[in-house]
Amino acid sequence: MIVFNKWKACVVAGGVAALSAIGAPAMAEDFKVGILTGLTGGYGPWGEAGLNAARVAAEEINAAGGVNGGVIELIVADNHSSAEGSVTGWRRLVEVRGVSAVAGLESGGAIALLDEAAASQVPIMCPACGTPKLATLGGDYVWRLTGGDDDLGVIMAQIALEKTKKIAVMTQLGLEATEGISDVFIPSFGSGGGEIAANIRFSGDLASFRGELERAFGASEHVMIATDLEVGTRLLTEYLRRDYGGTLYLIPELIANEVAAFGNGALDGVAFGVSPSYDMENPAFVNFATAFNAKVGNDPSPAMYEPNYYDQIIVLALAAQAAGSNEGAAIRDQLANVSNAPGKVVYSFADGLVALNNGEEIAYYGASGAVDFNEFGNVNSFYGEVTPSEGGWVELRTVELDTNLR
Amino acid sequence: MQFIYFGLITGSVLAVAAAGFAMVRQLEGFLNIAHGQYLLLGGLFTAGFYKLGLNIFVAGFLASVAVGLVGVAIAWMVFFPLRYKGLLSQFFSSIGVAFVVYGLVLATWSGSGIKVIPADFGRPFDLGSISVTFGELMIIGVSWLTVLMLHFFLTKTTMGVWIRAVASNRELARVRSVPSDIVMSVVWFAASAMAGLAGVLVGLLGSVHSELGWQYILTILAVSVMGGVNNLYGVMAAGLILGLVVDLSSVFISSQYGTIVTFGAIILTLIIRPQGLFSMQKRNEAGQ
Repeated sequence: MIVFNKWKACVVAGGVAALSAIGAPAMAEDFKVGILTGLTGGYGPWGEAGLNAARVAAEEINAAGGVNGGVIELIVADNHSSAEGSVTGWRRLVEVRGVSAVAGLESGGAIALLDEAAASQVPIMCPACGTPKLATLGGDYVWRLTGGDDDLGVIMAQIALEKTKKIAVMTQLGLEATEGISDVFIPSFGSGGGEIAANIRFSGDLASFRGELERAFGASEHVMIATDLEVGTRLLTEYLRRDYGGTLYLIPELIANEVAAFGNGALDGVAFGVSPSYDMENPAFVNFATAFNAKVGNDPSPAMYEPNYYDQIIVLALAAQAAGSNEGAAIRDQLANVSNAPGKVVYSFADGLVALNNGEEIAYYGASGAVDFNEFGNVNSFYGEVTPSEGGWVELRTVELDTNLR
Repeated sequence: MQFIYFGLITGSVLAVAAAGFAMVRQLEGFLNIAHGQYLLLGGLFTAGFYKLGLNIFVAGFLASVAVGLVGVAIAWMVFFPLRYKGLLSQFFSSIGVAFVVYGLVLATWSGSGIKVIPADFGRPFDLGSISVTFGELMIIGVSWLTVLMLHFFLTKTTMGVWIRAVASNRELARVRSVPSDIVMSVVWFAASAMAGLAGVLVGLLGSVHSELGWQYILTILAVSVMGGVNNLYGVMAAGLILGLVVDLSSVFISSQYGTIVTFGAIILTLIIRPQGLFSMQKRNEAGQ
């Protein structure tokens, strides 16, 4: 009996092994993507909205059959809108969870992790990083899906120059996003014939901004404010309490619905800003906006960069599919190939998947517009002038970049 | 003149905040680092009460009282049992309490990182060459009314006499049947409530944010060193002076150097007059 049982067990084990090797398909590996973004802190509103957009993309990808036969899984970490939080979150996502790529990062975190991304061979996608540093430092393992502050600063100067020739600039120190845009705005405004009446730099740690506001509005009725959302909220509260009036120019960090709702419309027609402008008739945008509305219950806002957050996931998934691998280096090598011309223009992951399976080259045209990466992993964006209206932001017009002001 | 006025506002709030800190220092002997977090609680409670539909003055009063009660409760739970373990134990425990309060606030904080108390005090108007608002004048008025009330409380009431007795010599006061536990509870209530009130005033000036407590405790420490940690009135005067110095300095140098001004003032005070600008210590020694 004992001999028979051993013989039977050997046959069963051999059969299982043979079936595994010959007939049964290998289990496909899931495509793990980290979402490392500010869900709390200054970038909280953008992070929350962007996470919803990324989830819309993931659902669309999985509905189309997933990546390399496996499902895409988003693993979320809150970086508290800080570079320090990004480094901590990176370790959790990359070293512990083993993600193939990290998406959703802001400027400070992307710059802090620039070398680490290359060393780990894990691509970083920046949906809304503005820092001018990425204009030349990106393209290896850091890629961004929006124009840089070097463009935004110029366009802000264009908008301001149409309203005034004399402006005061208030800049919060210690942040890539705020100092970077002011450093571009100031020379651009000067190139356009404008005068910087006051260049006020201050720490966000101040208990009150009364003195800074007094100096700014003492110098000009037109004031450009470059702060993060938390500091901007405090500063604008004091601005409203002292009723300074005048005209405000706000950087994208302040183009949030919380700001638009200030003082029950007190900023309507008083504050102006720059925000990405999207072609709302483009099939990718229509498809995204429909899915986003169905998931979240509202349309994407012109100020929240949701299409960019969505596109970063689609591009990563297409690159992994084109590479036939979930390895970071292989994905990195395909990011420009699936996005840039030449190739069949595709407006969704599903169309891209079909084309790739047919052996065709593709050029993804996203919800945020053409995703044409240059050698530094940057894309060109279109921008619009926005102003608060009824608790939200409305686009007044699209603005074409005046390269003479650069 | 406008910046002197701004300095007066800053200094008035600092005087209220530092007075409570100095009271605890005088009676307990240690620096209560949790005092800054009581400011934060004051601002938060006011925002909460105001959101419930209460009048801003009622909301601010209730918030101050609530913070006072929190301060007494924490004192009984943490600081009183540690009284005989030494000042360092109490000091380090106060740091622990500060982090616990801060952590609880973060854990229960909802919405964005900023709480704005949307009370409307009307448009600014000119008072001579200075632009003022009713809200700012009220903040200065409430601050100095509180300081005056504290002065009368300490000098004209039986409890005030007891408090001064305990501050001078706790053992002697106990022998003379002064109810020291009640006295200490009253002191902790008053000190914490004043921190809460300072938080209310800060919230009314601008907004309340999660780092408020940490920001203010450093300035309060600076004020205490300048005023002389054992001199309540000196600390209040130092609060006013430091507020004026910081706001006026922003006219001449960038406000990013405000911290340097604040702590530069501490270093200068420690070098020139280590006992504090208004300390009576030397004079008392001379008189003996």
